[in-house]
Amino acid sequence: MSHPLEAPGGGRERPCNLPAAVTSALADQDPTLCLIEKIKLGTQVDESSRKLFELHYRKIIGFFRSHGFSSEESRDLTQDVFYRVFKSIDTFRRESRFERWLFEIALNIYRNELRRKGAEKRDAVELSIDTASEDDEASGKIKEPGSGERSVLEALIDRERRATLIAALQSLPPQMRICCVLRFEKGLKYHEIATAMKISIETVKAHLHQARKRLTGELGED
Amino acid sequence: MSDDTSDLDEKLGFLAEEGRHRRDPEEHPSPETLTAYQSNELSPDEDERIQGHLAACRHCTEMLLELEEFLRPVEVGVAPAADFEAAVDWRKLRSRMRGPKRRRLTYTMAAVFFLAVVGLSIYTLSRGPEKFKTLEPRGSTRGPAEAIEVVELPVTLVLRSSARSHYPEYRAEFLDEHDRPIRELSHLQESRPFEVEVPLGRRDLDTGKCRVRLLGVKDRGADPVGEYVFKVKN
Repeated sequence: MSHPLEAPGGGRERPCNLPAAVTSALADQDPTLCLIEKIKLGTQVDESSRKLFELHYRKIIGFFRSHGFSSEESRDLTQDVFYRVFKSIDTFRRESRFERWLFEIALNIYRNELRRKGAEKRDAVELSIDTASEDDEASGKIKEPGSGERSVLEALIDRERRATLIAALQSLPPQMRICCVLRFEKGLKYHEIATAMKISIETVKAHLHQARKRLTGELGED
Repeated sequence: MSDDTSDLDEKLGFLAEEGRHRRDPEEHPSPETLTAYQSNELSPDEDERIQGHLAACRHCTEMLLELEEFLRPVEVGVAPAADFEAAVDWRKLRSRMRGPKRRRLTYTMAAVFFLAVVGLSIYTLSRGPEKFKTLEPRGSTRGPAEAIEVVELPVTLVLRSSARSHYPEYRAEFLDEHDRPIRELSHLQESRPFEVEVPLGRRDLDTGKCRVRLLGVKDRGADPVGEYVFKVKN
């Protein structure tokens, strides 16, 4: 199979120097697709793979770094992601977004790594709490009961209030309730809630406004 | 109203505290389901199920928000990561990718070499040691009637030329006992002065008497330089 890499240009420059039939379809698309197409066609595979790697390397490294992995761990996991990408690049379909596919692979590897770490943790030697408390006692770190801690009565009141609040939340319509949970429990911003719920920011605001009104009414009656 | 609001905020504060202590569910939607949710490819029921999960799962909510970032295409013209780290990691990845392929190639080459050695050995053994038979041209010796040499194929005939001068090349014409041409070998050259080697394979000649005419070829002309008679034994 031969593809003229340096096809003589007739006016408009073709992206990636691919055959006209291929490039015309890719003309309005991103450089990533051009690179993938070249890899699949077997033209300049090494160069195109390197470019694809460099184009998305920072994104993947950043993904792992932002989830608490060390620099070395992130680099290793990034290697795993790209290894899987290049191994199965033939299965990638152009109709889909490459970034989406890349994300799915990265998330799979991230979850696998979490599971592996979790298993390691479970297999680790457990330390006795008694040992720790003995040490604490020896160093005089043991707190006196009630000193600075909330009293049992306060804890009971809190529990009751929490139960009332949760019951009030349960009475809200599902989308409104989820908006409240994301906002008040998870501390998400309006635009983040909008993204997660796939609704507009205005709708989020309206839901939260309505929810506050209804909750005030319901909780005020208690 | 403001009192109500601050009271509500205080109450909602419990939720934040609750959220801090709450653990994510053990089960999560697959990455593919999460991306499908984001792309509106799920049914309304599935959508609702995912939203319900998001309300309880910090991990998936974070991932979904991250997906938004991910889906932003790399801008054309933005310089890709071409730093030292990326270059080192690329080289590492490339060697990892090529690793098994290279090993496969090495094994293939070793197998080919092994088969070639075995094949060559079998061929050499079956062929036996190379045999030479030197033939003098008829009429070059005096005395009693010349004996007919017996030749066993395969063999390399060494035909001694009776010519007085050298020829750039020679031609050997093989004739059967009825003088019918059966084979011709041309472009032969002297291997030693006045000696022409003619290799013959096992099936090149039939059993029986055979005559060879050796001709010296020069300037489009051919001069007879020897005639040999032998008996083929297969």
